[in-house]
Amino acid sequence: MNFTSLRRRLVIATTALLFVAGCDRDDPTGGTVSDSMTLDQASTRVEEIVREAQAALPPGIELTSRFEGSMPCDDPDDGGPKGRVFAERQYQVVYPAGWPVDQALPTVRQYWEQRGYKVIKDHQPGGDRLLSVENPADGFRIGIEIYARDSGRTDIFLVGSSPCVWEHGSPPA
Amino acid sequence: MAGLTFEAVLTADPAAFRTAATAWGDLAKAIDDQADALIPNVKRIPDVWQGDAATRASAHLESLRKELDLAYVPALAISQALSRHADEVEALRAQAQSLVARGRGSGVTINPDGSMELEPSARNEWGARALSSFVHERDELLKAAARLDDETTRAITENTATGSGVPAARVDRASVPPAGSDPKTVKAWWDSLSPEQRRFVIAEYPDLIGNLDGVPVSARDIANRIVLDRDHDALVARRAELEAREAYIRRMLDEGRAAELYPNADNPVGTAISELDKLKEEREAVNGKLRGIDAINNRLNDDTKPRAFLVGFNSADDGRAIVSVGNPDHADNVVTYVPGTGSDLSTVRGDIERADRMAYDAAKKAPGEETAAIMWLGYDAPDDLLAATRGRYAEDGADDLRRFQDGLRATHEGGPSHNVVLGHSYGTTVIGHSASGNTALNADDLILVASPGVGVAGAEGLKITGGDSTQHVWATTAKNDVIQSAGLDDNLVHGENPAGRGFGGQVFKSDDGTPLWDWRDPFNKPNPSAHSEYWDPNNVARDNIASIVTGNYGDVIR
Amino acid sequence: MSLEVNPSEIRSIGGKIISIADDLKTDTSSVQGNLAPPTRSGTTGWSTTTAADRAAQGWQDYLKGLVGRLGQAGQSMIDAANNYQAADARSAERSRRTVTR
Repeated sequence: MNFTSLRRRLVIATTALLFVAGCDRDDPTGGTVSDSMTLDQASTRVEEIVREAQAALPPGIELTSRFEGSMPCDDPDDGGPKGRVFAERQYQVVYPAGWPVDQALPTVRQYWEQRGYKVIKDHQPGGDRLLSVENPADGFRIGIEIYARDSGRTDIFLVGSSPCVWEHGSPPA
Repeated sequence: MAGLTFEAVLTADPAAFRTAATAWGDLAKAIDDQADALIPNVKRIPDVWQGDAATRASAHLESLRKELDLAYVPALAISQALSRHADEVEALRAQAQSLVARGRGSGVTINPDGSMELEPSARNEWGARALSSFVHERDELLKAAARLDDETTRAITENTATGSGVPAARVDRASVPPAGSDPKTVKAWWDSLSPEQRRFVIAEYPDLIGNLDGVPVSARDIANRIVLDRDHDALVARRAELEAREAYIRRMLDEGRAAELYPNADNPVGTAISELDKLKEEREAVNGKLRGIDAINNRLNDDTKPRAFLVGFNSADDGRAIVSVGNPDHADNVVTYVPGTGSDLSTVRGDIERADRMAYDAAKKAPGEETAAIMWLGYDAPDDLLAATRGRYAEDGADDLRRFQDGLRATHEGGPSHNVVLGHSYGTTVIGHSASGNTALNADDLILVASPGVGVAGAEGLKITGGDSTQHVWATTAKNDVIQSAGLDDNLVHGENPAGRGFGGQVFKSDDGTPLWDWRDPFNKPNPSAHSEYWDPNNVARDNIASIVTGNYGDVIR
Repeated sequence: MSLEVNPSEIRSIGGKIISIADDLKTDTSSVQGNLAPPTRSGTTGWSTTTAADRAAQGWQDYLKGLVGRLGQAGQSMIDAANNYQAADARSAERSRRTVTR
């Protein structure tokens, strides 16, 4: 069998795989089809876990909303039913002068580990720190990001997201 | 009158300028809406009124409609200028505040009016040097603020109406450079036009201007919004026509009158069903395009996010759209995102979300810099990877992508921006073709996400103006992404796997992604989601993309 | 050859044009107050603020005139329709009187 026809078969097999579920554009039935909470409920829950993290940090801080959005996880196809979405929220931590910046990450790390959250991201790119955890019970994620700026400032973000949910709680009819 | 003071910068209120920008945008939209509302009324006149008086009345109303069309352009231009002013003012204020804070930390008191004193404890050589550096920084800040203020003032004044409106000057259609012209030539032509002439060509030839590389982004945005609006109305009307025809055919079928519908057909019922199929197909296509247009409109009108610019638009065939989050002509970093197979106007919402995230992530990584993220559906994407192996999609798209990058360079203001071209899936193949021609692709870095191959055997086969492609071609493929199996070993259907060891580029980390098989139920369908999860919340690919886009190469997690 | 003249349709179009003018007037007044950033701390000192204020003035004047001309165009159509109907009525009246004499 010549090389080209073998390659063509592999392409067909793989693309059939991707195409059946929509290649770059996923068909939602590739995963679970069961009902979920609604996007509104998921957003509310994300807000809650972010506020829990705020409460766990040393006191005196406020949160400023920086990003709020929902992102398709299974992308809707032409004319097809809308797929599922993530709820995502990111807040910047506004802290007063003298606040113990260096304690922020260790504090929430310990808090999350005590709750049995699983670490899913733990990196130190350059002088920055990225730590995210997932609650194995419901798939919600919360993280802290620390950016050490050239100016000497440190910027801190709390980032939260939900698992894939149907926008209205169940697959469209 | 005294110039702009440090105090004015320190206490500036960007929200006030932003509110004004929104108001001018609303005004522009109202003008455009009423211009469009006139159209069917003017069209109807000859049906109900004929003769000299009727002709005069029609002509008069038509000229009023054109006047409204023309007024849209300067009103939106003022909105753009104020929106930019708000963003820049916010950045300048942050810089001023940072200066004051750092001054304090170094023993230099910076007063609200900008005057500076050394604290007694800092009255030494070191303190004096710090003082001098802060003075210099303050002066540079004030210069930048004055420059911004001048630019915005000029843009507003140029577009200010008098009692007789905002004048335009005629330009012949034939003198507009044709599509495909060298963007440098186009830019030179644009620069030679007066503000009156520019307004005219945007209002009269929006379909030409909107997609012409070398025309500044803000002008393309205004032109494309005009076309977007028109195409929206035309598609809605077409859909109504299709639905009416479908309903009519169904009624005739129900009443057993198919033969009346197709008097010459052998099989009228069959013909009816066949026409219904065709109508359904077209209606679904129209609905898909309207979905895309709605997604674009929603993003353009979303005031809670950075201003978006419609840099390209065409609803013909599968549809093309280029939506930029932020204005690349003013940005420090620009990332052009080329989506993959199956992308067309109907799926544009998800791709705009990805561009939004990349812009946001870059701003988080480098808050002092402006990053624009462009969703570039500027090519006709194949419907799936199998179709991709048969067609010339990548080759055809490559030329458009090259010219688009040249266009970005031609219209960018100030020193050159850091330009990155990023592709997902088949989008990487288009990039590969655009970077393996005779001349280098005008880009500083390439990012290849989930690539099925880019048409070359190694990084050195890709040519970019930014330098050594082994250092500036970045690739990632998630561990569970089935795209890497679309071939044999690392030799994929479109060439070597850029994230493979043999390719010679820079490989960065992504999350593993959803596994192909759920071990708990081996009889489940395989799940290829990993191919599309790179922009999901938390995916480390996003952090890495932000690092590359902002030039923080050392922070890339491998 | 008679030319098509349908007074009630002409009047209806004229009415629609007047309502388009009214809509433009309403939309314009609802944003008018926000076109220039209010002059106060936060916006003073920037020549942009003054320029926006002048632009708001200039555009207000311009749009007032444009709305007026648009409304006038609609009214002219209504007037023309009314004239046609009146002329028809007069000529019908004349024919009637002629016939009955």
